[in-house]
Amino acid sequence: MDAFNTSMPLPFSYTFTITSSSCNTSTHTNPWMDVRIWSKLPERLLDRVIAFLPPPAFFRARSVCKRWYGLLYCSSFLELYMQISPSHHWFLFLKHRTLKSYICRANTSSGGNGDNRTNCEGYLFDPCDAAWYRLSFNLVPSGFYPASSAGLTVSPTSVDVTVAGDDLISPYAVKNLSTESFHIDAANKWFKIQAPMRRFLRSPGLVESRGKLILVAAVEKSKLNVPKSLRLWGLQDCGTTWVEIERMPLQLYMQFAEVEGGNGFDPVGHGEFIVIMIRGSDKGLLFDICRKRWRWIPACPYLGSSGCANNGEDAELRGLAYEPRLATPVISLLSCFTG
Amino acid sequence: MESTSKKVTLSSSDGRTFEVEEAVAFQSQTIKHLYEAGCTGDFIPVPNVTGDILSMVLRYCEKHVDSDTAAGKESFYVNKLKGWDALFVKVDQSILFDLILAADFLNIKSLMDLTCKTVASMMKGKTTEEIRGTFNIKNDYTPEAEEMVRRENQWAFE
Repeated sequence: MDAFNTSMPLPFSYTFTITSSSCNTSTHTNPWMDVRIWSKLPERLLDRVIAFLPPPAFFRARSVCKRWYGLLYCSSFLELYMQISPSHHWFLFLKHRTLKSYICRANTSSGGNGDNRTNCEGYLFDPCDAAWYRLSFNLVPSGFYPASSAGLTVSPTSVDVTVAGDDLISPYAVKNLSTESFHIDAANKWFKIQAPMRRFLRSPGLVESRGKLILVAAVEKSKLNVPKSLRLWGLQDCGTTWVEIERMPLQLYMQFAEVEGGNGFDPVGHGEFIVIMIRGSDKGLLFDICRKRWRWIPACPYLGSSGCANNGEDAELRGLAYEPRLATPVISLLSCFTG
Repeated sequence: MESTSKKVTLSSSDGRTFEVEEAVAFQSQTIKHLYEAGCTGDFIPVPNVTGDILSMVLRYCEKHVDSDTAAGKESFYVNKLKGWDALFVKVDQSILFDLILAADFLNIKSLMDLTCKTVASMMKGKTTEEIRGTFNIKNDYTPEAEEMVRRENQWAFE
């Protein structure tokens, strides 16, 4: 797949490269392993190693032998897996039809039943290896997109809901961005959280990351005496104050703005990662909060050659936090009931 | 702190002895249980682990001695420790192998996880054939059955 090319001559580029990785070894994804050493690994410990494989590698490994194939149904293995398998902070992207294409579809399908029911495809993105996988959902109709609420924190005694939005008075600027938080406990009430730089924000979005709420927005205003950029603010523990945690490097923001062209973008967070997909394009950026590292993610290879936004029929990708797992604790509950 | 903390002495399979603080040694559940059961004399024997490997394991335990405390859970500290761990497992494969066996015998969960995860990341990019070669696993599928399994998991191969 092509790395994202930019026409701008820049002092340093953010073209996508795997330089290092949060998941240890993607610099050399296939190091030589000495059979004289590893063939002596006891089966019990080998199972532990297998439990650490990311799901796609696990499913590939099922074709190694019958025993490995059966691990997915082996309760002692799944028990071990649930104990030790690390969280995979991955993303699932679904095609999201833009408003325009909804209208087109309504017009064309008004005569007959224009319902082309193909299977819904999801695109699994692994931010550690920057790899895409295509998943097919047999029971989900095409075009399905789950709505998600931004910023929901549930504790044993309360539920906190935080929403943010633009009043849409002006298509060119955010006039009154507001963020409100609803704390559901003994005293249910909404309170307002002052958004940072609220009159200068464009395309604000909320993401959840490691239990914290983060506001992602472009900062733009011609008369504003600060460079245009994309910034991240974290909501502090007091629940009412935003503190800037990151500012996209200027050179990168210039590339970003050129692709984005004012169309807006959609951030989605999971664990230490935030993916920012540019509307009307197949380009997106990945930000690693722990390492403070930005990089372009490779275009999803399953979207076809036409690209995403060339015609109204195609849809853009919207993502949600998704953790692929071989098993959930529900399985052990079920076996309790049925066994 | 240095003066008050109790020490224990471990002896490796090749007869080397290591004097360490209890809190360091007791990250090994095996050593802790041996000690608590009172079945130790002046030395706690670690019969399956050589001195070279045991000294590495103890270095790991010393580094991780605070990881259960509140201060150890601070993200700054956690990230620093992650970096240290990543360097710790950058060793020859034979040493990594010995570390896994030692962590298993000594029952040090976090070291087990670290070492097994490292091996997993070494094998995750390998083809089916390469994995069979690496672990000396016999292919017990018929060609037809293997093709079926592969098709069943096709999404992961794309």
